[in-house]
Amino acid sequence: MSSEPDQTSQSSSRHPGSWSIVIEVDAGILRIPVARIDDREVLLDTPVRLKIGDRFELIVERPDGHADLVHAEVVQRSKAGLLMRWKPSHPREITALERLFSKGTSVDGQPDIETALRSRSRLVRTSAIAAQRDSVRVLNLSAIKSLIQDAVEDTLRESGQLLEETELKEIIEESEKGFRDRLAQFEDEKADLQSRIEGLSSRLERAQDLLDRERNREVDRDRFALSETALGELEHTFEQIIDEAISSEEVKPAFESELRSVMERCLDSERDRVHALEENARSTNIDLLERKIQRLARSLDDARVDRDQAMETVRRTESRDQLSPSPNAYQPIKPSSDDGQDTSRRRALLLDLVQENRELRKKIDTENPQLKITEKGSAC
Amino acid sequence: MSETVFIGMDLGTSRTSITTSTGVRTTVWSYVGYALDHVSRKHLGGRDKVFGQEAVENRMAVNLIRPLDKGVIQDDDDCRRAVKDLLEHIIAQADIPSGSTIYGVIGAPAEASVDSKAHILSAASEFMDSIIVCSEPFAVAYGLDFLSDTLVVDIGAGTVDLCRVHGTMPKPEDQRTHHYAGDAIDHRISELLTENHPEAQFSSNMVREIKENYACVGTHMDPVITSFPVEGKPTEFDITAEVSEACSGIVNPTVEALQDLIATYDPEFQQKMRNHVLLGGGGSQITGLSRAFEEALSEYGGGKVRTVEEPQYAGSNGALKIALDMPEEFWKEFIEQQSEKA
Repeated sequence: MSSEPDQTSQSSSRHPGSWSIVIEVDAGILRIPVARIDDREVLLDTPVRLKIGDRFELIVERPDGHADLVHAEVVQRSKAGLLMRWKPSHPREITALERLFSKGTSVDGQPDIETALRSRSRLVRTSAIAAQRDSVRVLNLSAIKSLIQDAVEDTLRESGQLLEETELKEIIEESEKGFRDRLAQFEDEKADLQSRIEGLSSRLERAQDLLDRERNREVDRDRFALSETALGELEHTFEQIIDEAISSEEVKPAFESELRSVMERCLDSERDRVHALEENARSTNIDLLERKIQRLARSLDDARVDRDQAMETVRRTESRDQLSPSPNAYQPIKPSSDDGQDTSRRRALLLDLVQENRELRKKIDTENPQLKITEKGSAC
Repeated sequence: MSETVFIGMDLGTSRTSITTSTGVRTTVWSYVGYALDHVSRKHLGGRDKVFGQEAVENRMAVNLIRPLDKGVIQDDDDCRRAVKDLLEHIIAQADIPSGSTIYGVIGAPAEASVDSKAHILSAASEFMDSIIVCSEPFAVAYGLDFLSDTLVVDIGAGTVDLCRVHGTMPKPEDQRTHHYAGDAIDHRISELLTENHPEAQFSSNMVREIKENYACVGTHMDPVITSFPVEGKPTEFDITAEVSEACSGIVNPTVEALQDLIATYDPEFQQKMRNHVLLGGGGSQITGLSRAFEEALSEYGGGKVRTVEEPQYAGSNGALKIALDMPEEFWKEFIEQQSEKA
C-alpha cells in the first residue's frame, strides 16, 4: 500500500453540516472531506494516493455527528478524488450502512424527527421534578411522532398535496422499469461474454490442435536441403581434391576411396546441420504456440469470471425484481391486503398454524408438565 | 387501552433477529456472556451480562454461552437462562413502549422437536403476551408471498432446513434438515487448516470471520490470503483451497434433500417447484451457491434458485407478517391459556 497524504488533508478539520471520513493509512489517521456519498460508494475529496483494490476500515461521520464503522475498497483514483466502494465485512456493517443512509437521515441530510426531538430535549433529574410537582404527564416518543405524522398528513390532505394512487403507481412503475432496464443490460452483457467465451474457446482449440500437430511432427532424418554455404564448402573441397590429383598426375584407388569418404562426411555434416536448424525452428514454434495457448486460457478464465459476475448480478436483479417489487427495500412489513386472491388460502394456512400450536401446547402439557409457560412479566 | 405491538422473531443458532410492527428491526449474535467475577464486571462497565458480538469480544472476561446448537436450545440450565436473557435483550433493543401488549411469532427449525419448541415457548412467554411458534422456512415463504409449489432452503449456522410449501401448513414429510451448515463449514475449514498448515494458530472466531468474508462455491474464486500467527509472528497463508473445499461440502447434501423433496411431490408440479427454490438464512450469502445448486439440479432436469433479499431478516419479516395477519381471537386464546397456566 502506498499513501502520500498531503499536508492540507492531514490538517483538514471537520466541517459541521457535511459528511466526513476518518481513515488510517501508513502516514497516520486522516479526516477527509466527502465530495459525494451514497449507500454504494463514497468519493473522497483528497489527493491521497491509495492502491486500487486495498480495503480500509472507515469511520463514516454523518453531518449530524452520528458515526459508524464500515469497510470500503479503493476502486478508482482520478482528478475528482478517490472513489471507494462499500465492502461490508460483517452483517453489522450492512446495518451500519442502513443506519447511516436511511433511518436517521432524511433526503436532505437532516436528522429525522426522533433524532431532532432527542437533540432538543433536556435531561432533568427526577428529584428536581419531584421537588416541584406531585405528578407529571408523560408522552412517549412514538406518541409524539405519531401526532406529528397525523398533523403533517392532515395539513397535506387539506392542501391537496397527498400523493394520489395514480402518482404512487407511476412511481412504482418507473422504478420497476428501471429494474427491467438494468436486467436487460446485464442480460446483454452476459450474452456478449458468452459469445466471447465461445470465440476464445474455439481459438484455444485451434491453437491446441496446432500445438499437437507441431509436437507430433517428426523432422525426417533423411530430409535436408543444401544451403549456399554448404555448396560453397563442397565446391571448395572438390577443387582441392582435383588440384591434388592433377598435381600428382595419377589417381590411385586408395585416393579414390578417400575422396568418397570425404564427400560422405561433408554431406553428413550438412545433413546434421539442416536437421538441427529445423528442430530449432520447431521448438520456437512450440514455444510460441504454448505462449499463445496460455494467453488464450487466461483470457478465457477472465471472460468466465466476468460472465459469472454478470450472471450473479442478473440473478440478484431478478430476485430483487421478483421478491421485493416495492421500490423501498426498508418499507415496514404490512399485513396482507384483504382483496388479494390469496386471502382465503392465507386464512386457511393461519388456521392450520394455530391448530398446530394448540396441538403443540397439548403435547407440552402431556410430555413436559413441569415446564412453565408463564404469563408475561413473571420473570421480572 | 394499551398499544399492541406485533413482533416476528428468528431465533437462530448464530443470530437472533427481530422485526416489529413499530418499524424496528435488529439482529444480534446468539451469544450471552456472564461476568465471571468483580473484576470482569468492572471490565464490562458494571454489567452482569453482555450480548452478541460484545460477549464474543470479551470472551476472556466472561462465561460465554451459545445457547442454541444445531437449531435447538441446549438441554441445560445455563443455556435455558441464556435464551431467556437473549430474548429479553433483543426485545429491549426493539424499543417497545412499556405496557404494550406483545404478540409474537417465533420461527423454529423445520424439524425442531416438541421439547425444543416447548423451551422456546417457555422462554418467550415471560416477555410476550401471546406466542405462536412456526417453521422457520415457512415463515420465509409466507413473508415473500410464495405460498404454493415453492421449496425454501434456510441455511443457518446449525442446520440447513428445507421445506416444501404447497398451499397448506408443511407437514413433517414436507421438511428435511441436515447439519452441514455454517458451523460445519467452520469446523471443516479448521480441520483442513490443521492438516495443511499445522504451524498456524487460529481460533474458531477467526475461522468464522474468514468464512463470512470469503465463502465461495465454484471454480472461479478469489484467492483467500489471510494472516495467522506462527509462534507469535503474523504469517500469510493462502487458504483458498481449504475454504473452497469446506464450502463446497454444503452442495451435495442440500441437493440430495432438495431432489428428495421434489421427487416425492406431485409429478405434475415437480418442474414448477424446481423453478421456485428460495435460498434464505445467513449461509445463502456464500458466493456462487445458488448457481452451484442450479448446476447440480441440471442433472435432475434443471431448476431456478433465487436468493432472498436481506437473508438475515427474511425469517423475522415473514414471522411478523404472520403475526400481523393472524386474527385477534387466536392471540387471545393463547393469552388465556398462558394466564391459566401462570
